[in-house]
Amino acid sequence: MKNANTVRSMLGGPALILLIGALVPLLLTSGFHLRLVSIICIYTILCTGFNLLYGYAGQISMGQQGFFALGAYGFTLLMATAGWSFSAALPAALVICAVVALLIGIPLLRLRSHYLAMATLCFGLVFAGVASRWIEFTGGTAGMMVPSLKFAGHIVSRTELYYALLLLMVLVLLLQNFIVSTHMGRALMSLRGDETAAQSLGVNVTAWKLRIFVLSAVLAGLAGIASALVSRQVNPSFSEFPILVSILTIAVVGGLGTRYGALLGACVVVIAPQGLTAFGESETVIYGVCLLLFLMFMPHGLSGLFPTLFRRLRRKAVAPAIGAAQAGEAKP
Amino acid sequence: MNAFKQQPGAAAGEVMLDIKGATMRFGGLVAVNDVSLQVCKGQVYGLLGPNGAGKSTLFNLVTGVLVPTAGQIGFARQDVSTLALHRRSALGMARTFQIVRVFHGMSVLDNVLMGFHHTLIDGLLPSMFMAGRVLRRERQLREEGMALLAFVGLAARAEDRVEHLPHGQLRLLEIARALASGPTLLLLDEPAAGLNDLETRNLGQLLRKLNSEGLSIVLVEHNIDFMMGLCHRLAVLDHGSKIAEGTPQQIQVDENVIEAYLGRRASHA
Repeated sequence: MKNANTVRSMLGGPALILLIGALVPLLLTSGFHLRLVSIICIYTILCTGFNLLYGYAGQISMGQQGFFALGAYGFTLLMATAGWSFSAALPAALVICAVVALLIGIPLLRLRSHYLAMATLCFGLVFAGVASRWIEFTGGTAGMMVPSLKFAGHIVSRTELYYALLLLMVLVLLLQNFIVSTHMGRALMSLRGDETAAQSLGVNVTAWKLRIFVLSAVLAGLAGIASALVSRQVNPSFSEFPILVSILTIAVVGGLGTRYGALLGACVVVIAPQGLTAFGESETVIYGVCLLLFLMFMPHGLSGLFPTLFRRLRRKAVAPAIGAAQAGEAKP
Repeated sequence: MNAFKQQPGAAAGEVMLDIKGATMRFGGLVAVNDVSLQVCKGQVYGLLGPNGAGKSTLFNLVTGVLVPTAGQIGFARQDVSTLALHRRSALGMARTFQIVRVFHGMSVLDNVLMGFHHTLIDGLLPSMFMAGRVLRRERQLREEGMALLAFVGLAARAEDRVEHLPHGQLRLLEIARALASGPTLLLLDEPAAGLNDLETRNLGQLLRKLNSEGLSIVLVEHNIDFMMGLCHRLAVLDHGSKIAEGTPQQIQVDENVIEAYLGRRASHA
């Protein structure tokens, strides 16, 4: 019975998201709004990888923005400079991300907590430095233009690109749900707990850390490619602090170690600043204060809020019934 | 008492765990000094000794947390002295810990399911390619995990978070998790530590039941009464060396043991 629930909970959420996401363009009036929802998809893909790595497996990486940029640059260089087709450049860029993650992961994953955070942060910083200084190859701080996609002579429109991103995001969420609701999720969660106990139960701790690090890097690279296509350019800002700050903010706001925290967090982080533009100069301050309040009062993010609300409502509904039952028992 | 009757038969079984001259040095300290012993199939084998005698170190050599400085640990007809920790459960070795080590943030059932890990598809990509098989197996696992929880008496708490379980139940959970890996040898590091009398008695019954179904058990324990009633064979360690080995009756009258351990305890009391 439990398993039927497992499969249903694996498919249900993504199906609902696909349905809502498919209707969204019909409600939007401007291209700018379409761009915002595309960015939500991109951030969700990026942060789903981070969530698997940090939220579930407890291995922090501050270098996700490096892989984000690596994917974008790899894809753009292969497509624009080397003249590869889209269908060759996309997987090739992802393979580059995977290989680089593997190479730096082998030495780095021996580190823990803040040491791992610092080491991975260095990767992101080094990447940003190289991207802005190796001018003849990367175009320096100006970056490079990304040609618009064409399939059989048809130029892919922004709306079509959004639908592709939506589908991609739903697939990534399905993959995440599959991982976390099977033995893979348990193995990941055992890493953040007790490594000796995990090893004694046959979990190859080193291999699992590496696997999830590579997967999160590939997802970051995928998000980077999507971002390059949506903004039609790449530049060194792809691997700079604002991206990292967005990842961490989304993680905190949405809730780490939850299935839809990345999506909820991405919605807030992308949409909230738009609503705050009315405040003019004090926008950043208000945004910061809101984040602080989030941290203080919702340690589990938005994902933690909904179950708590639900439980409270149910308790209120059940409490009178129990009270009545106890009164009835007490009589005889 | 039933245990004693089984003893001659059990002793004649094949050797499961064969420790030959195991030595462990930490700098100048010799924690385990040239210890040899054999555990046969179907036996309950106890390791006794005062604090600091090297019991836990020997236990860690067998389970692979430490690699011996010298000597050999043979298990399942092969030398496992340097075998990686995560490869041992597939050979049929399962353990519990002196200080309970469960996985927080997970349900009781999920903790038990961790025990099945070595029997499942290893890796992300292979699991994705065989997604159907993974999901079908997951359903079976839940049933098998529930059966194990029922066996140790924790079925009602399957969906609770482990953080909500009292210490005694966590010990049982660890045993259920160890059993999930389908072991031929169960290694228990002070399983009765922190348990009250009733819980200790229940634990003894549980272990006797497991042993009667053919599972070999090695235990390290302080509780002498518990050990005397349960073990077929005992080894006593003192200052890292084995000073006696035999049946509980032999150990109780052994002069070295009385001097090193029982005597000292008696004078304390």
